[in-house]
Amino acid sequence: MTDQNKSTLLLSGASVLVLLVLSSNVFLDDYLAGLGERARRRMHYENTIQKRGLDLHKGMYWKEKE
Amino acid sequence: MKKLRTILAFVAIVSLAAGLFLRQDVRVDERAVLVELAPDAAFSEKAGSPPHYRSDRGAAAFNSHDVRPETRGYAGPIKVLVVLGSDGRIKGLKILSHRETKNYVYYMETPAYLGRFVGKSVYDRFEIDKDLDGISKATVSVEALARSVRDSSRAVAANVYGLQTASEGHVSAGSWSWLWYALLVLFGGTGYVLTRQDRRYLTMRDISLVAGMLIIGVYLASPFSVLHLFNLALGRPSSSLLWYVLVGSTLASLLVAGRFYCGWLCPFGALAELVGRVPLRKWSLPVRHDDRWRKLKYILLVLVTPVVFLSGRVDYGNYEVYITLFAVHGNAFAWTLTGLMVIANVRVPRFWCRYLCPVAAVTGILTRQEPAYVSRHDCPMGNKPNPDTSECIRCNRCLHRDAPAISRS
Repeated sequence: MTDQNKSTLLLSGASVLVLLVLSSNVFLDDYLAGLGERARRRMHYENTIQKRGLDLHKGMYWKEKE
Repeated sequence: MKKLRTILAFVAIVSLAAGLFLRQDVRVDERAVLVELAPDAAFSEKAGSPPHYRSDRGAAAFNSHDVRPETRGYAGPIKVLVVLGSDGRIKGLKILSHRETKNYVYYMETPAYLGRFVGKSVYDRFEIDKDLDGISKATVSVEALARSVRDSSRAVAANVYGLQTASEGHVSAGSWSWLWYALLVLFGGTGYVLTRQDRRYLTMRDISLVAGMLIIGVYLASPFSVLHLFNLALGRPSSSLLWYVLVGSTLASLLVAGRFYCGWLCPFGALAELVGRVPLRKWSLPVRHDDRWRKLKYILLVLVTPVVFLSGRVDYGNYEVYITLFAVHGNAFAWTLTGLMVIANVRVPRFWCRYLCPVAAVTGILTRQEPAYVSRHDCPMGNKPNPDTSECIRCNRCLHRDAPAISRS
């Protein structure tokens, strides 16, 4: 393999890594973290608010109602 | 180069303007965070001065930014939701949003670190490295967090509970970091001027680079980054004096000495040159091939700029290996890229700087032509004879005062 080919291979690999880093900045840190947050709130709604037959707004104050 | 400059300016202005119209501040649901912080308490609507939620158990919760909007971290405000008891003690807190570079502040966001604020009283000092732990490489951000929580808690304690609190406090750690940076710029600048007169002073460049690696990289962990420029363009200045010295000196040096920062101060550039001195055969690359791939850094910059300006999220544009390396934080992709970019210097000197570095791209675009730099066999950037000045890092080895003025675009 010539030096030029090795360098092309290295640069292509590095470019792919840069794109993966950029994609992970956008999707891994925020989007997936957001999914976890949404799942937690859904569970809170189903386990705590819906069980008591409250709507979302009243659910915020279910403690007060009790 | 003129064409590239125009393209980048066009992309930056259009995306910045579009971002201003399209971008909406992400609203964090404070009530959801309240449920997380105090699951057993019921809170009223936000009201009063300063604005706060009141719980049925007497506690008050507030967004620190509502109370003390002037407190800023390295890249903008750090908004914290704080639950404060009527005895003036913090019951819980969570960071709602911030604009700091995540690599540096990842630990600051964890419950393990924030838990150290719980139980603290508004009468406490909130001093980093005294009654609060500091976080290495995130001093400015941690100081801002402490100041924001302390000052807003004191204001709420005084206005809501009628507690007598001190209005001022002292938070200090790393306040002199800017001086270290300024001294290094002064040393490097002196070396730059002297080597332009006489090449016998070239050792000063090696000393400056090693000092840059130790001071800017290891000690301050504040290498100049394209994220600084993104924040500047988005109108998000810092409250840190180091930020102003760093950005100000780099931009000023760009006007008079081109890519002086890259050649004399950059900590990753220093590491790249040191690794490049390993006595192994260097790859022989045809000039056309080398020239073509050097455009890659500009392409990446043009791609990343609209992403940052349209989203308003500076951290989306972070692929800089020196941030991963000196912040000692990054995901698997970032670390693989960083490792590869260090090792690559063994075969191709300053590999990252030549082909991928966004700082090299932006400083290259902004530097003015200087035909006196004609390049020579030991050019640290491996530049061809009479290179475009955008690729020159001003090591001053090849400075040829009698060079004819060559017009390049």
